[in-house]
Amino acid sequence: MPLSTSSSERALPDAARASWLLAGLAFGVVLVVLAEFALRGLGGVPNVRDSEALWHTQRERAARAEDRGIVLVGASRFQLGLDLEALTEATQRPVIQLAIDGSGYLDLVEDLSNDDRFRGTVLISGMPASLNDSRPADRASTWVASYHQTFKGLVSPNIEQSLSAKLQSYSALYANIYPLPRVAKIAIDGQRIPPLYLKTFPSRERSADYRLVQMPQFYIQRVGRNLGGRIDKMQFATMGEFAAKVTEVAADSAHEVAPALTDFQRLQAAISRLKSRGATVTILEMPSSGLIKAMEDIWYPSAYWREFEATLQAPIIRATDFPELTFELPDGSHLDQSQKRAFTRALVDVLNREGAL
Amino acid sequence: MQFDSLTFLLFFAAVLATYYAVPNWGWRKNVLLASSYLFYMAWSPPLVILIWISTLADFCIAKRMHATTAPGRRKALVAASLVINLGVLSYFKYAAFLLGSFADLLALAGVAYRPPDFDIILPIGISFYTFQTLSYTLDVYRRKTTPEQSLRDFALFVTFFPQLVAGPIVRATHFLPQCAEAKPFNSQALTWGLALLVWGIFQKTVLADTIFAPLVDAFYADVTQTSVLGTTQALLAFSMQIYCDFAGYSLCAVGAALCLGFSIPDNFKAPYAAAGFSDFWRRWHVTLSTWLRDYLYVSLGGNRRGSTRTYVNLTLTMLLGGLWHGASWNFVVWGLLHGVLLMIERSVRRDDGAARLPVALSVVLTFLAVTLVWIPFRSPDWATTVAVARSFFASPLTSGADYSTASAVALATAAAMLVYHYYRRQKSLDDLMRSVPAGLQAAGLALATLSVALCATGDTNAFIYFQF
Repeated sequence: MPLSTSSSERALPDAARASWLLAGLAFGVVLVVLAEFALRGLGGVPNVRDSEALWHTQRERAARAEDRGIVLVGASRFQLGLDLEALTEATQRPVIQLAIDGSGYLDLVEDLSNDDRFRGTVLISGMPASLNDSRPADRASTWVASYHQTFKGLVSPNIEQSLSAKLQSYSALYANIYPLPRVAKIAIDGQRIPPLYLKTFPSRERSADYRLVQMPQFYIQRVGRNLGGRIDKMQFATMGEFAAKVTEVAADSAHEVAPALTDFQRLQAAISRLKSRGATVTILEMPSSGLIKAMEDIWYPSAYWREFEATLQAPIIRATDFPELTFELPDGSHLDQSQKRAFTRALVDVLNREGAL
Repeated sequence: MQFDSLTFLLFFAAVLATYYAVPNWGWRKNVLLASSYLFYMAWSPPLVILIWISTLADFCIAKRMHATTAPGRRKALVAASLVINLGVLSYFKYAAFLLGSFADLLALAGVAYRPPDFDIILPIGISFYTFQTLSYTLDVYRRKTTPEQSLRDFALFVTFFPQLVAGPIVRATHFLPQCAEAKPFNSQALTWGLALLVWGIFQKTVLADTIFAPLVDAFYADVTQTSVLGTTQALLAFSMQIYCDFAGYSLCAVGAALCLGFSIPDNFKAPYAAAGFSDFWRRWHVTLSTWLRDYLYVSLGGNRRGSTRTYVNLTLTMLLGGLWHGASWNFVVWGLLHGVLLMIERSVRRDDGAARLPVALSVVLTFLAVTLVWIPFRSPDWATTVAVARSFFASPLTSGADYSTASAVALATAAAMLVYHYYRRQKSLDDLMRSVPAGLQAAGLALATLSVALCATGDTNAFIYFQF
């Protein structure tokens, strides 16, 4: 075998072999198209992956929006509960979704406050336990750090992620959210892929269709998760018994959940920096209902919210204080896709009346 | 932009269409040059200035060097090229590392020193293009070639986008003559180039990222919870991951260049079928190893000054080769280990230069040693290196090992790849292309295309060698 690294002449396939190779490439493309149709035939649908890289593109948008942007910081309630199109229409401003499902978000607020480019409006979904100093680092910390290390100011990663999200919104195959072995088994068993109740868009907005989940099991699981697994191994004969236990455990754990009001110094400093640059900050308590609301009323009574607002020196708008923002939520915690447009429009009216926009 | 990205797909389609639509060879080169700058600026526009500095400096230096016969002046000019290129490389790549190491050294002596924060982004491809331009000025200095008269052709040599970001490191003597001759459209070159692109993306997306990387990442997420078997699985998987990732990139580069009518060298020649460590370095990242041989090892004296000096030169070359990969003591140790292995091999080689072991046994032992030596290369820090190395001796034999289907698939694929490497020991890629029936090749290509589509998630993992 030749060991030289130089070969100014490469061996090329003859015409017949080249034709075969071309046919192979073309057939490969045909197979991909067939796979797309096959996946859709099994019930697969396009869906965007809410990834770290996708978040980075929105973070970059937030910086470039300067004083015009409305940035949404929070977790799943914000991601599922706000209709970005409605918000953009009503405010005529670019809206950027930076909420991260299942994560605290103090690092996001701090990051925006340290970014001199950003001077717009920040709406923070205000669960205190996601914003206090002593909360451990989580996904938001990682995503913020990697944004600065690998994405900020770079051009092609931004373009790539935007293209990728666009293609994912059209192709069931490209997002690869259906694990291949599982799809193969479903196909062999002659079944269909169970529909996903969550849909993600390139803007990172998410919609939940709760008709596709099993109730009340889904609701019970949600309540259990909000209680931090404290009742996971318990059995209940009736919903009444379940509700009573939830209330009891919530009351017992109140001292563990609500952070001390002295534990928000980082948030105070971040809000102060944002305001000093001309940015506006408003904290929103998103609606909740049923047992979720009952727990949150125990953990964060009205007096706590008043003191929280005084501590932060930033306005707090609680959905519970405005009838137009009060909804009956399917899982007690998140708006259904059919509710969020109305909620968003009502929210804009409230924000305008309160001078938050 | 990466080869396995949508952006590159659109970019390359546009470049191909424009390139072949332009009839004039000079204008075609302009298209390539502009596309290459665009390709680089797609990462970070301001950093293209560094490439311009390197290009202009070395173009002018080489011309002046050739024009003068005074040895002192020639030396000064080549030194200037070295200072400019290595200076820029050192600043961006090693400044923070050197300062940090200096601070650690002072700390050992009880002196507290906090170096300034170096928040510098490493310009992508800088390790590759600086070595490429340095090879040019050094070849002109040694009178192995004459300076290029066309700034455009030279700039294209420096920035040719298929190999700009992560090699292969192309020599001027290989590339520049190709710029001189017009390249008519060749459908066979385009077809074979596209096929190589697909195979390269298959190696990266399907093999490296989907099959091997999860096993490796899971292992390195917590190296304390493992066993001898678990560590072995992970190391084997990393051996395959890094090969598929880097060889896949190089194959893409070769394929993309061929689509444009240019030939660039193969960078990998079945390295895991190497019989001995010298042989390994004739097969792994060939363009870097020959660069180090020709411009560092030979400059240090090579093997011309006795055994002891040869061993020193070998070790120093491999050590600096390790450092080239990254600003970390882990890479230095990796290079050093390879230097030691080369020394040991040299000392046990027979007087006639042949190895003492049968080829098959030599291949197996070489592969195992190379796999073990990947430990510091993959580990994020020294503590992890030590933990992984210790896990061979202090861990339980089998508990904590991964018995999942994914792990079985990874190991079966690794075994198949080793067989493939052994089959390709004496066969080039072109030989392989000619020996496999055309229909089988076409079917393989179709399945590779489908596999890439099934494994592409839209979250592209960066090629490992992009960080160098």
